[in-house]
Amino acid sequence: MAEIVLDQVSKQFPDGTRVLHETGFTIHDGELFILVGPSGCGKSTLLNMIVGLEDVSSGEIRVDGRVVNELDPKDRNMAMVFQSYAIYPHMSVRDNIAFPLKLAGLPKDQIRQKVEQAAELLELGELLERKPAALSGGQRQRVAMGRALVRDPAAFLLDEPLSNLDARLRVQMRGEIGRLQKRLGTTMIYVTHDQTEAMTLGDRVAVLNRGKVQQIGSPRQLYQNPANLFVAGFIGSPGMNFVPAEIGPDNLILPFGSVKLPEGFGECTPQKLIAGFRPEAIGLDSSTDNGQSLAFSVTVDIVEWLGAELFVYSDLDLPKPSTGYANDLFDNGRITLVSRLGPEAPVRQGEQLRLRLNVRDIHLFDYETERRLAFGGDDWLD
Amino acid sequence: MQNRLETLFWSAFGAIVTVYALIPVAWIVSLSLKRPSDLNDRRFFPSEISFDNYRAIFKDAQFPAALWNSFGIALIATLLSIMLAMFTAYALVRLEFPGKKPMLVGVLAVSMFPPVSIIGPLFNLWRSLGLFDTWAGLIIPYMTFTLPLAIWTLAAFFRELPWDLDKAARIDGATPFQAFYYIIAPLAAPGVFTAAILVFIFAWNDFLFATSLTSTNAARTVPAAIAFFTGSSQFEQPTGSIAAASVVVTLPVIVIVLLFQQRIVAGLTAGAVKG
Repeated sequence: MAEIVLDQVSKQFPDGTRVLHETGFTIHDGELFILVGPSGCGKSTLLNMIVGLEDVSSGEIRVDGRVVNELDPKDRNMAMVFQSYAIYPHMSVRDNIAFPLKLAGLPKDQIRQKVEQAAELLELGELLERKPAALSGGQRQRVAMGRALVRDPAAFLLDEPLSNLDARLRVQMRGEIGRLQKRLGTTMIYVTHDQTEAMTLGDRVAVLNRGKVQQIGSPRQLYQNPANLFVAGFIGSPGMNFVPAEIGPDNLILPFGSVKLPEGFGECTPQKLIAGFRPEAIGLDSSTDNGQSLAFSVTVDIVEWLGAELFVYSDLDLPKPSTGYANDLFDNGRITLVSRLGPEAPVRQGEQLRLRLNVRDIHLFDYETERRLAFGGDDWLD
Repeated sequence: MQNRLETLFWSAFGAIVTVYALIPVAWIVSLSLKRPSDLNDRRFFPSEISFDNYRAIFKDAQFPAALWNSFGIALIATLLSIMLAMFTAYALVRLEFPGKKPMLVGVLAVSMFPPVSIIGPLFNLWRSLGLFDTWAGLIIPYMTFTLPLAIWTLAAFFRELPWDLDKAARIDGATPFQAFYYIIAPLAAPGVFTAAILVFIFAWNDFLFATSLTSTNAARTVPAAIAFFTGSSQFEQPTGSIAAASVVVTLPVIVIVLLFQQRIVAGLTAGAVKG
């Protein structure tokens, strides 16, 4: 049980590379906290700093009010599950799980009892005498989990624990980890590059990019009120659509038409704007215009039918002459729009399609600062 | 068809090489089992098997003493060399410190130094230090000349071990030494045995240092002692005794290699990380 506070923590390698800029946030006691971001964003470094495998260049890490910067990893009482599992190949499953207890100097019968408890919890009972080489990927993963939870740590740290499993097992283990964390109530920090894992598991999620925290919030907040272009594009699958935008006297001008300026968009002064909207914001054009939406035509490029939903990728030409920055951002003036439609929608490749975009779903971003300026809908508060 | 021809080719080739390598050994074994009067009978197999030569070398005080010296010196040199090499190699692979590269290269440079060029100075130095004709006087150069080999072999092994295992052990509550002792050392065992065999064979077979730095039974090892064998009269070559001593001195090496071979199991780390 622990509350972990990062106070303006940063990491710089001796060669001057800055992998983590000053970062400060608090991981509450008992929370499942997710660090998500693309590879090389500094999330694993941050985790290694919390557990003590990497030095902290500046700032403080506090666990329950105690500064742990200089504390050896063995004295931090944290348990970690590695992406590679890192189970000891020359020890049986039982010895692997017992290893932390053995080092802690617990009496033999107590070790036995605890190992068997953990094994039961993870359904490893039958495998206790086996060597890791004789285990499947999912079983090895569970051994690594067992070694972590056998010792009642102050916090669990998981570094991409599921990325080496196949898709079906990953979904199953994801659920199990979530349930386990709720049951034990121990603080857990979970590092992943997979936004789906982040969204489904996390109480709160921190999105990192290039060594900077982009946004911290609940999965819903990240999805509905992304703080900037990066978060908007990273969270959600398929990602958000981005198009260049302009503010007219009383309307919002998009490449495929203009619409009455939504509330709050008037104050947006920057010249270079980007509008973003999620695939589900675009529907088939069936209703009449109510002034709150924008209808336009596209040519269908690719159709992905997933059974429960249908993704339509369509090409959109930017009107010429389009502004310079739009050409930089959108490859030669072409934009691919993704829309999520009902599975029964009669759409075929190469067809012309009438789509309708709801204005309340449009986010407006500043191209220069990448920050979100306005949103046509209401922000999610929780 | 292609496959069977290929198999045939390689097995025939292997057989030829093996026979070629073993003929001199077989010859020595045969010689050692002949009676002294049959030594020049120009036959590959002894007409009558006799253990006279073996009895003779063990009756002489010189040979058992040399055997004892050989065992003692080679084992101690191996132990010390491997211990030092393990810590050095671990540090070289796992730690970042200034001068890491030059150190590896320097270690290699030591092994390139021709031993014969330092024999003279070493002889004088050992005499003034009182190390001449002592066990330590041989153990020290053996250790020095085998360390580079041991360090490089072990470093290669340590490099193959997943680093996550040390980290995991550290987080599980191990001190750096415990992580090394419980996790890294057992996993590196095959490498340690390989290096140990190489070091042992070097020390066991060495002739140069053994003849130059010893003078009596106090520290003379078998290869040197064999050179001082004499026949029963000044007109007789001690061929039979030399052959018998050569067989006796080869046996421990064969036994050790066979014993350790079981420990050199490839793929001991299988299952540590996803493979």
